[in-house]
Parts: sequence; C-alpha cells; structure tokens
Amino acid sequence: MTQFPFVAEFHDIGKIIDWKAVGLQATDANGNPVEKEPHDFEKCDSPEWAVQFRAPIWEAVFRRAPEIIGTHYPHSSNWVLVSLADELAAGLGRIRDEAVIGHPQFGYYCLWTGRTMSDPRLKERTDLEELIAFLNENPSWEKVAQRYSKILHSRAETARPGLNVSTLYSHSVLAGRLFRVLHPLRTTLDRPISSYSDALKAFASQKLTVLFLSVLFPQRPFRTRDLSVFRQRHDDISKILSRYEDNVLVRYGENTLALFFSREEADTFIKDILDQGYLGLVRINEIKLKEMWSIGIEKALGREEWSSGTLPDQLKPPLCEGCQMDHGDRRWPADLLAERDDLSAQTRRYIRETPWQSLRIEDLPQTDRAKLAEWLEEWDEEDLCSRCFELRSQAEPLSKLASWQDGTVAWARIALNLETLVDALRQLHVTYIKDSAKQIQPNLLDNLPVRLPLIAGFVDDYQLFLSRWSARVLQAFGQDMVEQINEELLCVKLERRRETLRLLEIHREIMADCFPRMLDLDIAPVRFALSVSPVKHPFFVHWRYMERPVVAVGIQIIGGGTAEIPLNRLGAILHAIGRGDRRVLHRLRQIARTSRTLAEIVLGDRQDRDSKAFSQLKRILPFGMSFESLVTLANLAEG
Amino acid sequence: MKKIRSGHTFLHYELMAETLCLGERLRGGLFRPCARVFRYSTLVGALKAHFELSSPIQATARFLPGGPDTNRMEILSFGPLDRGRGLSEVPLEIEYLSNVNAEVFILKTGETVHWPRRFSLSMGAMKSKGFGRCQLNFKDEVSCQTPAIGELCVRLPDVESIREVFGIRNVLAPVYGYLFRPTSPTSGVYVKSLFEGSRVVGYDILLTRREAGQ
Repeated sequence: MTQFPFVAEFHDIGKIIDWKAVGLQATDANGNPVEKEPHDFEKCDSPEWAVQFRAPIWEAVFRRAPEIIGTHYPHSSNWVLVSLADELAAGLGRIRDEAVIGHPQFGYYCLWTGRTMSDPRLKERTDLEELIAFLNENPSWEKVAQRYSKILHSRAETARPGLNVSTLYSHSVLAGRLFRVLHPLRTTLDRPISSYSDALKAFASQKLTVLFLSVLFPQRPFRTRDLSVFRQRHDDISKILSRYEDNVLVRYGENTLALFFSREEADTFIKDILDQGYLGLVRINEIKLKEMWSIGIEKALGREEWSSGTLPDQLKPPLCEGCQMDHGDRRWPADLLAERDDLSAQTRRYIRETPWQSLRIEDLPQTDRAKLAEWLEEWDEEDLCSRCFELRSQAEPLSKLASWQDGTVAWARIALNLETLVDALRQLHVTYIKDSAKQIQPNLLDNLPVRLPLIAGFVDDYQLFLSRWSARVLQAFGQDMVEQINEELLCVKLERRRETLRLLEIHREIMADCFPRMLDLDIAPVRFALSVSPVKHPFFVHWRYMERPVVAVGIQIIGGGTAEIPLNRLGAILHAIGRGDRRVLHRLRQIARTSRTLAEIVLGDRQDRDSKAFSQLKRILPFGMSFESLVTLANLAEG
Repeated sequence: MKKIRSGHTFLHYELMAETLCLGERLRGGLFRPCARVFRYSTLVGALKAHFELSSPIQATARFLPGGPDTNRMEILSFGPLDRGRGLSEVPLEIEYLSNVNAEVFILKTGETVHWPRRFSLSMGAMKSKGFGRCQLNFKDEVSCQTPAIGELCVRLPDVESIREVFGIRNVLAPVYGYLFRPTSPTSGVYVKSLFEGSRVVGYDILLTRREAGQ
C-alpha cells in the first residue's frame, strides 16, 4: 500500500458532497441542475478555498483539469494512471452517460437485498471546507475511509438511474489497487499528455492479464487429522497473497480474482501457489485496456483450465495414500514415531524395522508402552509422500471432532460460484434498470456487462453472510457441538438426524436476510451442501459430495440417498416435511429401501391406507423436487 | 500430438450386474468407497482375465441413466474373517453399486470381433463375495469418426497409444490422477492418467452422455 505514496483511492472523494446544496452547481428557476455536478472540485480552484495543490491527493482529484495539472504537476504521470485506474474500476463494462436517462439516485441500491440507501451526501458549505482542509493534510486513505465511512458505503459510485448499484467505497478501493498495478506504465510515457481523453487513448492498447484462480488440494482427506489441509491451504494462500495485495481484486474462500500488469507476473503468482503442492482451476486471459472498458468480467476471463506442477508420467509403488499424486516414500505413523526424541533408541529402531501390523506392545520397553498406546490402536499403516506426511505431522488436532465417539454428524458447506454469480447479478441489474430508468438505450439490457465493483461489493457481503451463518449455527447447536474447519465448512454433532432440518432452516433464514432478492432467481450462486452420516464415517465421502456443489441446496445421507431442493421453495418444503407423520415417513422410507419405484406407486395410490397422511408429502413434489429427494428428506425428518 | 487416423469401430455391449464394487484406491480406513466411473485398468483387466489374453485390448465403459432403482449406491457392512487366526476382524463398510446398467465399448480387432454375443465376467472388488458378476450383451457396432468436445466419464491412461484409439485429439482441461499398470504378475507402475471431469476433444463414447449430445 505504501509502496507508491500517491493514492488513487481519493479520486472521487468529491462525490461525498452535495454540490447543489452547497451552491456550487448551477440550477434553473425550478432548482433543477443545468450543469454537471462539479465533484472533481473544479469550482474550488480559487484561493478562497485554500486547496493546497502540493498535497499529492489533489493530483488525483484534479485529473480532468489541464490548467491545474500543467501548473502544479507538469512532469507527473500519476494523474494519467489514476484516470486509467478509474476507468478500469468503474469499467469492465462502463455504460455510457446517454444509455440510461432519468432522475439521479445518489443513494446506493443493493441488487441482492433490494434496499436503497438514502442520499448520504454532505450538504453544508462548512462540510466542504472541512473536507478540503482535511485533504490538505494529506491523510491516509484509511483515515479518510474511517472518517467518512458511512457516506462512502451509502453513496453510489454513479448516480445515474439504474446504475447506482455499487458503492463509492468499493469503487475507490478498486481504483487504488488498479493504480498500483498500472504503476509500471509510468516509465513508458514517451510524450506529455494533456487531457483525460488523451490519457485513455494513450494506453488503450496496453494489455493486462486477468486471472481467476481456485486453489484445490490433491489430498483426499480421509481421516480427521488430514483435515488440517484446509487450514494449511488457507494459511499458504494468505501468505502468498500478502505479496500480491494490490493485484487481488476479489477473494473469497480459496478463490481469487486478480489483475496483473504482465502475463509473466500472473504466471509467477500461479507458480508460487502450485509450488506449495496445490492444484489450480485457472481462468486467465490477456486483454487490452480498451476491451476491458467495454466488456464484463466474465468475458474478460478465459476458459477454465486445470493446472498443477509438473507430474511424472510414471510413479513407482507405493502411491501416496493421501494425494495419490506422488510416490509414497514415508510410512505413517511409523516414521513419525521413529523420530520422536522421547522414545528410547531401542523402541525407535524396533518401530522403524518392524512392519506395522507385526508390532506387539509387549515387545516394547515398559517405559515407552504408555507413550505409544494411543498410536498402536492404528490398525494399519499408510504410505505417504513427503508433503502429505508433513501436513499430517503438523496438523492441529480437531479436538471436538476427535472426541465425538458415536452418534450422527452433519457436514455443512457453503460455496459461491462466480459464473452463476455474474449471471444472477446481471438478471437483478436488468430488472432494476427497467424499474428505475425513464429511457434506456435499445439493446443495452441484452447483454449487460457485470461490473467489477459489483462483484467486489457482493463478495464483501458474502463474507458477512458466512460469519453470520457460522455464528447462528454455533448459537443454535452450542460451541461443543460444532467443529469449524474454515469459514465455509462446519461439522455439527446432532442428537437426532432430524436436527439437520434446523441447519436448512438457518441457511434459509440467513439467505432471506442477506440476499433476499437471490431467493427469487432460478439460479443459485450461493450453494449449500449438507452431508449426514455416523460420526466416524470418513470425511472423503462427504467431501466428494460437497467439494463443488452444483445445486442451490443439496443433501446427502450416507447410505440414505440424496436430495436437491430449490432455494425459493425451501421454506415451504421444510414446513411441509416438518409436519409429516413420522410413522408414515418411516414406512415410505422402508418401502423405498426395497424399491423406489414401488414407493412412488404407494405414494400416489389413493387406496393406500396412509393416503391421507401422504397428502402432506405429495404437496412437496410440485415444488420442483424429485421423488428421490422427497424420500431422502423423509429419511431426515423421520430420524 | 500424433494425427488421429480416420476412425475406429467399437463393439458396443450392454453391461448389467446386480452389484459392482469399483473400489477407490484408498486404504487405511474401515470404509471402502466405490468410484462413480469405470477405470480403464479395471475394465481391460477384467476382459483380459476373462478371455485369457496377453495381447493388448482397448475398452471403455460408462453408466447409463435409468430409473430410480438403477445404479444405486449402497453400503454393505462386512466382517472379514482372519482364517489363519480364526478371528473376525474389524467390520468394514463397503460401498457398491446395485442394479448396474452400463455400456461397454471394445475396440474391434481381429480378435475381439470373434467374441461371443453374450458373456459373463467378473469385475472390480469383492469378487470372491459374489460382487461384480457382469452380464454383457452385444448391441451393435459403433463407428467413431469425429471427436467431440466434452467431459470424460472414465479414467484412462494419458498415453499416446490410448489417446489415439479413443480419438483424443486435445486435452482442454485435464484432471490428472494415476492408474496402476501391471508390468508382471507381481509388480507394476502407476501411470499418469486422465480422470473423470477432464475436458477433452475425443470420441463421444468417452464423454458424459449429457455433454455428448450437446
């Protein structure tokens, strides 16, 4: 952040002022503005306003004023880069002024909640004077963001009707990052640039690299202790990302949307991740600035590709039991125990030289028996590669999960799908523009680009959604009954399987609260996967189901089927299934165990003895659920 | 990459089995998961064992969509007996597919063209317990000429000779893993392989049916 002292975040700070209210925007007799809002402080350049042009912040603000630039920053190119960053941050699909016409909306409208902020701008002349005085002191962006936080988060980046869908804060932060990404361009300015439009033209053909990376691990976590791979991945990625702070535009979970000045820089970033032993799903594209201004993010990104470090064509047995992608040259747990200093040399040699299943506790010295008792319960040894061995050796124990000996657990995972998110935001935005603008350019809505600040804003709210979700689950089930693996993945110990319905209800409630407009869509960017089993069931089987959820709400009961529930019907379905007669649910499930086809016939049979009781269940089928899903839900509700 | 020759013909069989356990290569646990796709090594191994062949054959297979009772994933609890010590070991849970309905494509060669129209073979894990008894019925011959873009629904070695047979012209987005290839009755190596989900340009018979039709 401090690598380049100039801070592009300030370029639109004038938007927090109501220029008409302070008397600096001319109006007609009816009070309607007859000129553009002077939010670039163009009416504050006279001495009475006491702008200290030496404070670097002002160069970003006055980037459209050639005289001021010529007088105060004649040899600087910072304002040019700010202009490019501004276009990029607003762009990846900036819409021209004349495309939508109607009354300006200064308050931010949130597409996913449907809530509009009231106009938060400062309306007094003294507010403007205070702002100028504050900026003259050259404050850090953090200080400004703190002081004007509420306004920055409520003021729309653009006030054009239907386009007031991202906050000034998101836009400013993005512009700041992009400015620093573009900073190498400073050295390529070969002629003086005097106007904003010239600045854009000068670099229109400059290529940048856009990257979307999902970091996966090759390990197939089978045992509780292998779940440390989740935390390890998070820590490794955070460490690497801290070196690319400005390139990262959006991050959620193990997914990163980033922009690089060159392809080489992007490749180095990917290599840094892969060198840690991870795999990546990569979408990467080199694209000219002028194209970036006119297309949405989904078009800017390339096709998804799987990426890994170099893999050998052949491996000698044994294959690593953890990742199955390398030679398993370490024995678990024998090699770990053989390195323990607290064991006698005799014991360590014995462990090293004896096949695991032939180890006998009575062959160990008395002093070491207690230390090894827990380990000797391991019923088999595993061959691991060095990476998996290291991961498992360093694993922090998941104490709650390890202590649960019997009963049922539900693994719950929430995941965000970028591709579907872009589609969903587009749908919501089209609807909003139609509702807000008086006049819309023909064809504008046909393929409306989704803008970067919009995605960034959604992801910020998604992070809050995740925090609220985990907090609610902890509150509902109690600290001792919830093991949190990471922000998107929880394991809940259930007294009864039926309690899974509570997890579904919590998800529905928080979705309705955080993303109510998403509930009406037929696509689901935020996906919820639940997998239920006895507590000691291997995690691998859960993860296989939850790793890349494909439906809005998916449920797997190990040995008991799967269910897919449409999100917009979740409430009604939970209501109906919750009222179902448990004896009838049990009967239906038992029939389905023999034959699902028979169960389907029985459910539809009007002569059946439980026909009346089945009616509640039958109401669920028109909600877009398959019969198999219904049986799975019946299975949950009965337990 | 070598140029694909003009096309191949495959013998198309329907495969049915009451139970089939395509064990994932995971050990060290009491639960033995079943793969959701066929492995080239399992399929070719079973065919070679059945016909007692030493020469190479090429085959692929995929599950067919069916009714709610088709290709159902089930779990069996099983207490293996250590006959040497006369003791029951810790019970295992074994995942398997029941009421299996799939299709198998075997490369037509001078040898395979003479194979019977109907035959049974054993495939996968737990064969000694009666799992994996498969009935294969010949349906027709399928001529593959033009590769299509889609997602692999099988695991097969990423080697030139196999790519050529199955018309894999290009791997757009690979998902790699390793499959065992025996080099003698007691040894073998793991070969880099393309796993399900890989996006390839290849013959339709390798691709998930949904995508193949698009």
